[in-house]
Amino acid sequence: MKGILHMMIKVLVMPFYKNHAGLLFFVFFLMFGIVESTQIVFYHQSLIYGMLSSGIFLVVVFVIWLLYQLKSLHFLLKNLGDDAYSFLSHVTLLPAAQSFLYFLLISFITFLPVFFYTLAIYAIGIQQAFYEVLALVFVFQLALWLMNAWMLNHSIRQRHIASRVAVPTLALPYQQTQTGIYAGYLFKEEKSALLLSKIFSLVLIYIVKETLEPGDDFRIVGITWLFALLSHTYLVQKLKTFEDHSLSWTRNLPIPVTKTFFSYLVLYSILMVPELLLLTGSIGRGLSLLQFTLLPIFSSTFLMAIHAYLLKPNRDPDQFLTYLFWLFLGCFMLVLSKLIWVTGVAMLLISFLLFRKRFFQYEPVE
Amino acid sequence: MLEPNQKLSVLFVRQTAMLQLTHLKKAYGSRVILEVPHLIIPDGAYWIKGNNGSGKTTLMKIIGGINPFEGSVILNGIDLIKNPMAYRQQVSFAEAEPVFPGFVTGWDLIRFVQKTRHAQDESIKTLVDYFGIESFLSYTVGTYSSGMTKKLSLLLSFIGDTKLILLDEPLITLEDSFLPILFSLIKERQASGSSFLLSSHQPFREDQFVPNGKVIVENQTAEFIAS
Repeated sequence: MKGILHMMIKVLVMPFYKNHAGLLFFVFFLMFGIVESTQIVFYHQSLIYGMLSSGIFLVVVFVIWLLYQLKSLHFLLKNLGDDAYSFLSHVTLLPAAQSFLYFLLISFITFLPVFFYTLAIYAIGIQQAFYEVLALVFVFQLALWLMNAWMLNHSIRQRHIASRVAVPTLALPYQQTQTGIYAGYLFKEEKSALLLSKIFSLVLIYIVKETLEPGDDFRIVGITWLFALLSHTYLVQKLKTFEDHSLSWTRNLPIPVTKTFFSYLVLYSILMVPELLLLTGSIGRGLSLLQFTLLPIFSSTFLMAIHAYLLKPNRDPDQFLTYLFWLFLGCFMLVLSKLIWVTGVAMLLISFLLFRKRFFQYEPVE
Repeated sequence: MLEPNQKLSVLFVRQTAMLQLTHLKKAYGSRVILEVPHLIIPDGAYWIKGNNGSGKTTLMKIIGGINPFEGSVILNGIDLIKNPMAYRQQVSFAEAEPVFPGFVTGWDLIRFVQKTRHAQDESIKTLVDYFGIESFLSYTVGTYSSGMTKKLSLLLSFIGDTKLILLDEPLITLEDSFLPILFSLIKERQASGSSFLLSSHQPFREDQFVPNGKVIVENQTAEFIAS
């Protein structure tokens, strides 16, 4: 029986963390990277105190946890429904209560990053005697774990019954082009991941936008933009997997590699349009028109640099996080040095050369 | 009645080295999957024969420009590595178990391939009629059965004026009544100058298709045997 649980962790939990490395990295930086090291304990104490003492703040935190849990639920349900994971249907041979417990454990393990932070909330809450709020936090998190466990258990046991809930899809008119197919994938197959990335990134941009004042340094927007981009790295990974799985046959078509490169570049530019629109009000207020036009170049080339890395032949998947870290750090330093345009151009050139060199050397992983 | 020099000319065309593989090697780390020192395949339609795991699909994916390899693959004088676009304009490939994006329609994929291979609308209409699949092309591919997906994949491989069409296991998942249609299309395209490489575990029925020879894939290498 332990073998089944071990297999479930291997095929559900580990891919979850690998696929969400970018997003988790982004949140980690957001929580711990933007505050001075000497202030970090005080910052988090204040944050937790605010959460425990303000009802609205607590609701906002609950909504973020709910979104995270829905994101992991979506990922796990998708894997469970994948033909490649059909062997997991053996879980249904276990008693319902046992499979539920296994899924509860899976649900808890995917929630661990939040839970670790919750330990700090409990510690401060007990110290400050916020017992009722802590009970609420415990009940809410327990409800989230139970919700996911029930959904997963129900899904695998009822997979032979057609779903009564139809998720609306967007009808995209340009699916006969490369960019159209890539966009179609994100808008139709990765709706929740896209939504979550957008929520994180738009909230971040909105907060910074509201604090911008005339004469403010462009680096504030540049760094924020870089953090916002981190929440999209998961989408790049998903697109690459989609390309490997469903578009490997297109490598036989006479499509120039340059065209494929620019198809992705266009997609990644389009991806950040909502954030750009949000920032339009800040032109002339900490952001010049020229600087504004640099942002889409920076974003598309940053995401292309990740895409080009994923084309590396015989790549070690575990090295992705290391690459992402160094890419982020390099861009961070260059933006701080007021070299955002140099960074954009350099990333465009390097990613183009790597993409062109690697595209046909790479073997799609099926 | 052909004149002797005309006969010679026909013979010469028939024996032209369509596909040349030289020092071809495919390995994953130290594990060699395929090693072909030299292989010449003339124009025609050939059966790629081999046991499970012998490397038939790997060979076809290499020739189709899908998988990377060491060595050289030259089709009608055009090198796959040195001139990848011109090479790919000449070759099309239908996978044994095709996987397409589930959210696009059959028409979307046909138009996409049509644009990349610069095929005429008229030829697309002829192909769709030939395959008899128009009724489901407006639906998303995710709703197709494996047989429908297979037919779509085969149709896509016939789009454009390709000189070599690679069909990996074309017989699987198709209903028997469709096979005469497929083989008559292969004969038609052969008559207009296309060559074929077909892999199959099962022998072809002689009343449907008689290959011009075989490419035997075994012991990590490939050998050409003319009929």
